[in-house]
Amino acid sequence: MNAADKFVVRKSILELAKNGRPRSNSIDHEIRCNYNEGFSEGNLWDYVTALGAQVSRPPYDPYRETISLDTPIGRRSNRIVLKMPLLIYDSREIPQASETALDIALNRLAENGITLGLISQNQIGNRKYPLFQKIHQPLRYYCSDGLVLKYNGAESIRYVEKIRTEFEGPILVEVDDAFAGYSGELMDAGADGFLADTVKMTKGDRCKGKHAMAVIREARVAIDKYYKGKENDGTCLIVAGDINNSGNIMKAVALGADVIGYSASLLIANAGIHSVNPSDSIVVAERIYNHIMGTKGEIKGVVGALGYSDFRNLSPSDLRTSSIRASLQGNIPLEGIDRSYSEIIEEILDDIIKDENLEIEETEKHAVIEALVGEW
Amino acid sequence: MPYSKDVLNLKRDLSKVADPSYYDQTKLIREARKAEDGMVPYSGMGARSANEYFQFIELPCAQLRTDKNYNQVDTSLTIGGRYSEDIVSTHVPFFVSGMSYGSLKLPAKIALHLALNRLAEEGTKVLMNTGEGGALPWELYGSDETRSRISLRQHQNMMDSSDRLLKEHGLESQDREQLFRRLYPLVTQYASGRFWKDPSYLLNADAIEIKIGQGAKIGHGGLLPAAKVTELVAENRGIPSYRAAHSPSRHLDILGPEDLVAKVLELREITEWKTPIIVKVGASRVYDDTVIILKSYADVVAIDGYVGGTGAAPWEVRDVIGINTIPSIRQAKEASENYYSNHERDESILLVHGGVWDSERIAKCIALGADGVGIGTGFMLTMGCALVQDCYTNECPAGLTGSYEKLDIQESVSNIVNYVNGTMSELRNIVGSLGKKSIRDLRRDDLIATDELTSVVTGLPLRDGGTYRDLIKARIKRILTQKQNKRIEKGLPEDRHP
Repeated sequence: MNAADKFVVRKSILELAKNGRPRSNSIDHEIRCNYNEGFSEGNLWDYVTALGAQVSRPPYDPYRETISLDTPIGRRSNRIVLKMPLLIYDSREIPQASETALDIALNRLAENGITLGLISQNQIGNRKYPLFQKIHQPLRYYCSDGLVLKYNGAESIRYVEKIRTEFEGPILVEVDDAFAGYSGELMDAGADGFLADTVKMTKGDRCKGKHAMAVIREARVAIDKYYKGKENDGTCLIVAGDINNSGNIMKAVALGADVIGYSASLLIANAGIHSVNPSDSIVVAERIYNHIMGTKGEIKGVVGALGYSDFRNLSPSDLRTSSIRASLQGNIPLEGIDRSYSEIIEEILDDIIKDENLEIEETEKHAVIEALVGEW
Repeated sequence: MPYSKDVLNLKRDLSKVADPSYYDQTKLIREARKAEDGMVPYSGMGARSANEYFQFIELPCAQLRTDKNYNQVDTSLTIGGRYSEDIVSTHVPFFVSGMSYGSLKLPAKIALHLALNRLAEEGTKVLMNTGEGGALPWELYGSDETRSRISLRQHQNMMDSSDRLLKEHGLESQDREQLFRRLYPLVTQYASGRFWKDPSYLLNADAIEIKIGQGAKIGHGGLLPAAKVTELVAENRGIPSYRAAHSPSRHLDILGPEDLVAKVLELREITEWKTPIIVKVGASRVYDDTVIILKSYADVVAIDGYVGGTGAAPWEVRDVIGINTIPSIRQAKEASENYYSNHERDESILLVHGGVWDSERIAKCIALGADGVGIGTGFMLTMGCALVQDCYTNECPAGLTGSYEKLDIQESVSNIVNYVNGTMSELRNIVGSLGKKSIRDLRRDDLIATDELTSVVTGLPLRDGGTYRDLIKARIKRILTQKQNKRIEKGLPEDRHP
């Protein structure tokens, strides 16, 4: 309910409370009029919710029980374990003072047992948190705990193969919208995980018009396809982009992300406030620390309320949506009917095929579904 | 703690690095609060659902205001009788949802109590739920039946405790005679926090509600922030004062369906199988939860949609967990139909809460399959709630959940009485104008969905009489025809397509 609707509700109820006589218009009539005047769908993430635990599944208690947010990164024995599924990355330049504040905050968090990772192109010494260094080609020395390489064609696969022989820590590859086509080769070459920036990827030709939730789903499907019939040995999917609060972190993880890439500049902006001098690194660090602590509490609360003691147990079946577009993008079941919109279309198409005795091949059937979905 | 709400500069900073559509002001405030104190931010009232469906459901031909007199239309609600000996009857199909003392300040609780008494005197009984924070003395001991069997000592204790409550809130002049009677039926809530002092809380109730969860914080226990746990609230709940009251997220002795059966039977024994028992869950896995409740010897299934209000909930838990009220009614109804296809039909009742404020929404819920509807925010609005959602603080611009001295009790009583009478008149007009004699005669056939999604989610027909299936079928046929035409254009043989 938006602010205009709230006004309608309050005005209408007060009218009833003052007069005690039937009104001429109902609340829904007025809200519908507002809606018809100008509807904006807004952020599609807001149409997705999760199913809480009640009597058919007991919830966990975040105040009295342990809820694990431990997140391993890496397919080998020297995997890095983050204490929250967050990797901070500097997708764009941030001022020196902000970098210092981030370093102070991450060190303090690590001292208090909350290890987060940082992806940066800078070499940072004297730190207590894992650093994933951004590189463009194999180096002579590696002075970080993990590496991040941007995918740049077949050359990147050769780089990963070469680095794998020299570097023990996790190697992550920042991928583009053609990810599904080469992810298997990267995993064969020794990559430990993929960083998918949904904002960048949805600007690419293959993902144009898609929402982050569709990108996450497709990336997860590509990884699962590689491991078909085998256990995933630790390849992780790091999703970055428009995921900027605890609710969306939970939704992205349920859709298939393992770790969330949290933009450093967004983190600083989220933690900041106009009264804070951005060059005062100590104060900004304090706010970043607080912000992460609050976020940790929120994620634990949500995970416990869904009936899990480990956030990695979240799955797409925990989600429901109140939007056809969100259902199509994330293949999320609609609330009330517990089936996704594409499943409904397929079911009706099957009925038509059966009733009218049509002969349609499976590929053509999918083409019809795709065409219908495309209309949304 | 005061938070800066001047977020314009913060928003400007953010818009430099992020697409502004990712953010709205409430999210900015929430993020800033976390950075302020490192705590999980709370909020009051219900979730901000992106789509509540109510506005996309119509009751064609129904009228709120008519020239005809439909006073004979039956709008009553009866609870109990499935397993309980007693039944509770009210004259309206809606009731006051659980809003506890502590979450609501004393003057607001008194206003509700006095208003329901006045309505009962005028011949309109309305049910009230105590909420999980324990009942007030006049609620527990005010009915004729309990007053007749109360001991002298209990009476003295009740008077002492009431005097302290009234004095604390500057209400010493409140008419005791008027206050110490309860003419309306009372439901006491049996929640995971077990906030009550003695068995009279269960024994003096007209019905007991086992609260598994509530819509605003599904899977999360009740929550009363420290600032609101005053000494008297703490005493009423049996907890330490000025420390946040976090109820366990689940009943420690209800971990599954069998435990729920045991709990219901335990309460049945305590109340000698007399008192109706309601089991309330937050709307999530509604189908499964409804079947479990129906099998648990409870009389009533209550579902609280995630837009249902609260005094305090973690912001994220409130906004991202649960489903809307409308789809949850459909699932509860389907579960119930399925259950009764294998069992003899009995007197089970479905109550729903969440996002229902007025007669039209009540009628829609009942037509979809609910028997009764709980209203919380609607009653708050009548008392002046400005929907600022700061209920978790001790400051409320209307004096309902804080700053209690602002509330005018007499004006609130008058508003509540008008609201109930007005809503009842509107309901009678809706039912009467549809040519029906009782609100229980409302059916799904009386409703239409105005958009495809609502038709999918509710199963209701669209305006043209078709359903979403017809709509999708027509689209599929159009696409098949287009494909066929393309084949013909290319000179390919025709498929066996329409």
